[in-house]
Amino acid sequence: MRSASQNETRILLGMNILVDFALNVIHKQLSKEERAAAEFARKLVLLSDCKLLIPEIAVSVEFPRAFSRAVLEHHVTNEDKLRACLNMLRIHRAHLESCRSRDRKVLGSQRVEDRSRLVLQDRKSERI
Amino acid sequence: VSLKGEWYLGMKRSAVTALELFNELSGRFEKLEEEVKDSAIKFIEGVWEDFLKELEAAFGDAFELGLEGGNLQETFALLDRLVVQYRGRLEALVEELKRRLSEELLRELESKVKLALEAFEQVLRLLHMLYLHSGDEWFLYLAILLYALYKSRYPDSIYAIAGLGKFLRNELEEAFALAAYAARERLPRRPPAANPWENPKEWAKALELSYHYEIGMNVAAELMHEWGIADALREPE
Repeated sequence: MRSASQNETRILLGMNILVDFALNVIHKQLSKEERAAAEFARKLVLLSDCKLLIPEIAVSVEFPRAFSRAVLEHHVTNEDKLRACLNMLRIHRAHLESCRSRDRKVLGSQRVEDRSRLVLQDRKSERI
Repeated sequence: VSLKGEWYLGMKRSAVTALELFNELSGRFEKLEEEVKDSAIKFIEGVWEDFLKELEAAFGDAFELGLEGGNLQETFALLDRLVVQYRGRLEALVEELKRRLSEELLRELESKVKLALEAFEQVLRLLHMLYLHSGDEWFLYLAILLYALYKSRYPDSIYAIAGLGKFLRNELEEAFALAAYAARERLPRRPPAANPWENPKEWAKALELSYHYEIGMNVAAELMHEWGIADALREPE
């Protein structure tokens, strides 16, 4: 996926692509489709010059939540494993965050912040 | 087989899986991290000093001054001149240095984890695992520089070795830009059109992303898969 540096193609990254991005492309247990999806997602995020539109809520909320759920469901309790998992999550987030510095856009951050503020205000007024 | 194909085949042939390596290290990560860091710094400092001495003996002390004190553009200009004027002599020097670097670093790690670490990728994987466990980016930076050294071909390897020198001086962006230039023809992420001294940040980024694409993400994903996290991530709630 070697594209021109001024590639104007825009691609919206949803949770499915974020999950595919985090998965292994060379593991033999993956089906052909899964392998292709993971390879595509990884090339898209790390190698392409396409403009990626990443919803802020997917990076900051959905992906960490899904990842934490997966860790908890599989009863990962070993301290070394937990430390590695936390760092993996941090690294994945850093890759996605770095999209900003590569002239890519993160969608909806302002909208999500505004929405959160409105919800908080609603709750306060309800209490009053 | 393409270069990328060869690399993947190399990864598949790896004698020790990420999971085996992780389990082997589990419980003594901290001790190993401390020891590897300490010995690797000493070793790279020694290699770098030897390299400078060799250059000094062969070509005079102007090279040491230029490599250690100059800005990035001056460093590139100096290395370009070195490559053109002293090709044969440098080739032997670089080969000797690469051999020592791999042998001594492998021996150092092998003696500690007691695993058969024949492939150089294993060293990169091990360094990445220490990074995953500790969160200490020093291991990541070293792995990225070694990745560039082994992706580079002579005479370009000399830029990667100069990158190690910059790394010792904590000039990380310049170190990565030099190393990226050394490996530029074999990086999966294409470097920018600008010269490395004009845009070192983007060159460094290209190297970093290529490393994550070929090594870092694979180590993390292999562990996630083995621990069952990958399957759980796919399942709907």
